[in-house]
Parts: sequence; structure tokens; C-alpha cells
Amino acid sequence: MREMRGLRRLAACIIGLILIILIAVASLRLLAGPGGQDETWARIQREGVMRVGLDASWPPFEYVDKDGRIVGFDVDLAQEIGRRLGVEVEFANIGFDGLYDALKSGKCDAIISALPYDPMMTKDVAYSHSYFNAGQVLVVRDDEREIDDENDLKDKRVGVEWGSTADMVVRRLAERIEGMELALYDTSEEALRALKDGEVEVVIADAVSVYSFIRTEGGVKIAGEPLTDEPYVIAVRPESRILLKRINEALAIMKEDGNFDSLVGKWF
Amino acid sequence: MIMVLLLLTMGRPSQRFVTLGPQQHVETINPKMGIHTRLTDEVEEWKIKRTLEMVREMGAPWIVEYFPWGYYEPRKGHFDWTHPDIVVNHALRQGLTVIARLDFVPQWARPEGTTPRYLDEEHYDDFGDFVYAFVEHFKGRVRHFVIWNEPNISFEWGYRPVDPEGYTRLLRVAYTRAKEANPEALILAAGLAPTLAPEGSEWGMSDLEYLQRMYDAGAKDYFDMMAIHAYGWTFPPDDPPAVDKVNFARAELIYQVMVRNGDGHKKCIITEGGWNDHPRWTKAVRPGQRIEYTIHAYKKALEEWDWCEAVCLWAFRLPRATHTYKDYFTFVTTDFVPKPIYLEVQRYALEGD
Repeated sequence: MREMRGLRRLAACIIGLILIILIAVASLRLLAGPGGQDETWARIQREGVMRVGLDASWPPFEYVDKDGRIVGFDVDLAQEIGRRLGVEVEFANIGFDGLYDALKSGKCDAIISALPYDPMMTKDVAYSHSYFNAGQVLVVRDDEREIDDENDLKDKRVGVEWGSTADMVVRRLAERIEGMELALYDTSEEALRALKDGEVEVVIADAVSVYSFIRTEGGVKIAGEPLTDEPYVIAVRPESRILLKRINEALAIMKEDGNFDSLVGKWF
Repeated sequence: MIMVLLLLTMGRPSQRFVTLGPQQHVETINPKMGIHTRLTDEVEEWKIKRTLEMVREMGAPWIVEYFPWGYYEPRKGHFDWTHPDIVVNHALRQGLTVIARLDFVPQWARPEGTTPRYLDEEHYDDFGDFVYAFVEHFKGRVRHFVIWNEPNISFEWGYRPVDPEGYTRLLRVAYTRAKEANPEALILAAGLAPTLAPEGSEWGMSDLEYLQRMYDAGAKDYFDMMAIHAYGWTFPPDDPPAVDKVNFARAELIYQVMVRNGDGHKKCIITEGGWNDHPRWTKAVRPGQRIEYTIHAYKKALEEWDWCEAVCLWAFRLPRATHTYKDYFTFVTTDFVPKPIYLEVQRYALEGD
């Protein structure tokens, strides 16, 4: 009887050991890609160059300046990631519709182009952690202390750009928030200016427009969490596991050491 | 007991949970209002029905819908009309008129490695057979058929150099077979991509030049109406047309080519067009401008363009979000949330200005 128990314990130990080895091997394969290695990462290291695809038509993320140079938030972000990876960055300016195809066909190693996360594409590409949320946000005057989320909009006058996504969001909120009054403006900037001037108590707008306004005119701030999410991410080929890991590490460190905030401050 | 019930229900035809519902009609002050729906890849019947209900509720009596040949004839001579029947029957029940766009070549009718836009002349008769079958199947339900899409750009011509004479031969085959199936059918020549491609461009040919070359090749006898694509980009609907400009009123230049070739009596239908309100796309306008321009475009067709029978703008809703500027052409979200433009167009259709 005691021998049987000992044998069972031995068998359990062996099975456990095999499981641990299998998990370790699987983890290594996940990190290195199906072929056991990340060929893109190997080539980047060998040549010292990471090729980044972007569509330089979206200021302030990426655009061509008056001297014909591609500049913007994403350009600086890519350069900084490259610096931390110890490689040069080359940019390929590609129409937005062609970015995924360019990545798939190997014309670039990564897309850094204010690219929204698309769940339908996760079979075809691997995405980094989000580095920017371009969703709709609540905006109030700098001295406002009471408004923090949508539940605080009762009996408030809310400004939005007519016809925009913010307008759609507010019309839906108005169905359940009592006494909320809608004020329509031709642009987000006009709505934000009306907020500064006291015509409205709150504005709802996309984060990019709001950051831009805060940078140029100020006097307002984002209140609470975004009402909607539109995360921007970096895309690589699914087998570029090591490259993705390095990019995610670089993003995390940039957020920790304040470099990321400096970029936001520079461009927004 | 549960097993018995399961066994009893097995083998019985499945019950449809979505019904057509009562016959509806469109209430609108502008009978030329239309929209391009995008139901080709919409699997769930309730979404098809909901889309068409919302089109009717918006006040648009016309829809353009895409019916890909490759989906319905997976093998030569074997047709499956299940999905297009659902789309057409729901549209008709909502009181809508369907304009059917036909293209997309099945794999068996083209060489390996080509795109579904590639059709060589050896297979024109296969396309003709499909057109015959489609028109015959939908006789009494669909009368308007658009043959192909934007053949003046290389992408839509299977990445080959564009060929107005070749397209005219394809149009002749399709026209002839459609009329054999239903003499009442109305054949629309393909909407051409409004383009300023320079002469000799490998990517495309000016829509105006392409249409003239179609006439030169004898296309006049092989279409009853003209489909037009009329995108406004950043210009308002009243921006005057010009050969070197893409705007909504460029449609007038297409019609002028028809007039010059003795086809002024034929009607046109705008089967794609409109404005985009993406926040940062370079060809987009502000959302409020998009609303104003869209309503004015519908009014312009009604009040000024007697040669234009309907304006079907791109696009009502996409089956899934693309997360690009393309999402900003739509009138309702993928989740059926009406955008402000939908509500404003609906208000115009019911109340006028």
C-alpha cells in the first residue's frame, strides 16, 4: 500500500515536471514566434535600422512640414523607440489604406501612424499597448471642481461641434440625463472658446482637439475619464514577437521616465 | 423527456425569427433621396431588416446595393439566391426601390492570382449568363442594374490598364442578356471614378475621357441610364464643375458628355457620392458642413437636375467599423446609433427646410 502511494507521488511529480517544461517551451515559442525566432528583429539588429510605415497627413501625429520633412508626435515617438532599441529609424510614407498591406508585405517593420486598435485585424497583426486615447472627453474650465463624469451633467449646458461624434454622444446622454441642454457650434474650437467665455458649462470633444486647444489657448481642462475610447497602437507582424516586446518595454519606460509626457507637451 | 423533445424537433425546418412585417412606404418630401447600403457581408437577417427600416425612416426611397457575382455562383451554373433574396425582399417590404450593382468575378472565371475585378474577354459570356440569371430571378422585384464599378481605374479592372473599349464590349454582353431575361430591365453603365489622372497614367483614366471613348466604341446602344459617382470632397454642392476639379457638380460634366453624344434624353442616377467628416482626413469637411452639403445636394437634384433621377449617397452603415476615415462616410454607426447627419436628413425629408 505504501509502495503504491509512493509510486503515485512519483508519477505526479513526473507529470508536473513535464507540464512545467511544456509551459516553458510554449512561452519561449510565443516570445520568439512560430519559427522559433523573430526574423524581423534579427534583421533590424543586423542592419541597425527599423522601418516604420506612416501616412504623413494627420497633424499633429504625422505630416509633411513646409520644408518637406515628415514630422509629428508619432515621428518623435518612433525615433525615441528606435533610440532605446539602439537602431536607426527609416520612415516610409504610405497612404493610410495601404499601411497594413505594407506591413504584411514586409515594406515596413512597424506601423506608427495614429493607428486605431481594430479587433478585426488581430489575426493579421500584433498590436502594442495603447499609447494614446483619442476618445471623447469632458472638458471644463480650469477653476471647475464639481463636474467629473457624465452624471454631473444634469441641468448643465453642454457645448459640442454640430454633427460630430461628440454631438452623437451628447444626444444619447440627453435621453437619460435630466435637464441637460445642448449648444451646437460649427467647430470644437468654437465650443471650447464658448466654454472659456462662460456660454456653456461643459464641452464634449475628441481628445486630440482638446489637447490642441489647451496648448494654444488654455483656460480649460479635461475632467474625469474619457467617455469613449479610441486607443492608438503600434502594429507589427504577428511573428515579430521580440520586436513587439521591445516596443512595449520602450513605451512603458518612456511613460515612467517622463519622456512620453514631454512628447505630448511638445505636440499637443 | 428532453431527449424525446429534441428528437421530435430534429429534422424540422428551422423557423425564421425575423419576418418581413407589414408593407411600408417611405414618407418624404424629396422622392430623389437615396443611399448606398452595404448589406453584402451582413450575415444576420435582423440587421438587414433594421438597416432597411432605418433607411425608410430617414425618408430615402432609393437604395443601391452590391450583389457580387462570385458570392452567388460559386460553380458555373449553380446559383444560390438565399442572401440576395433576403435583402431584396426586406427592401421591397420597406417600400424601397433597389438598384443592383453587379460585378466581382468568381475564382472559376479568372486565372489564379488575379483579383475579383479581373475578367478577361473569354469569360464575358459567363458574366452574361450570370446577369441573365440574376435579372430573371429578380424579375418583378428589381429593375435597375449597374454593370461593374469604376472601370476607369486600374484597381477595378483587375490591376490591368483600363480599357473603355473592352468595358463597352462587356456592357454590350450584359445589356443583351439582361434584356433577354427581362425586356423591362434598365441597364446603367458603371459609375466612373471621378479622377484627374493624367494622360497615360497606369492607375486610371479621366472619367470624362473614358465615357467619351465608351461612346466612340459604340456604348450608346447598350445602356438605358448612367450611374454617376459624385463625391464632393471639400467643396459645397454648388461649387461649379470643372474638368480639372473633383466635386459634386462634376456630375453635370458627365451628363454633358452624354448630351454631346445624343443621349441627353437618358436619365442618370448618382449611385455613390457625398461628403466625409473625418476629423483629420484631408478630403473631409466639418460634420456640420457635411450635414448642410448633404441636404443641399438632395435639394439640388430635386430642384435643378431634371436629368438626375435619384441621389444615392455613400454609405448608410458599414457591417463593421474600419477605424479609418471610411467610418465617417456613414449615416448610422455599426451599432445602429443614428449620427446627427441621419437625424438632420430625416428632419429635412419630413419637414423640409
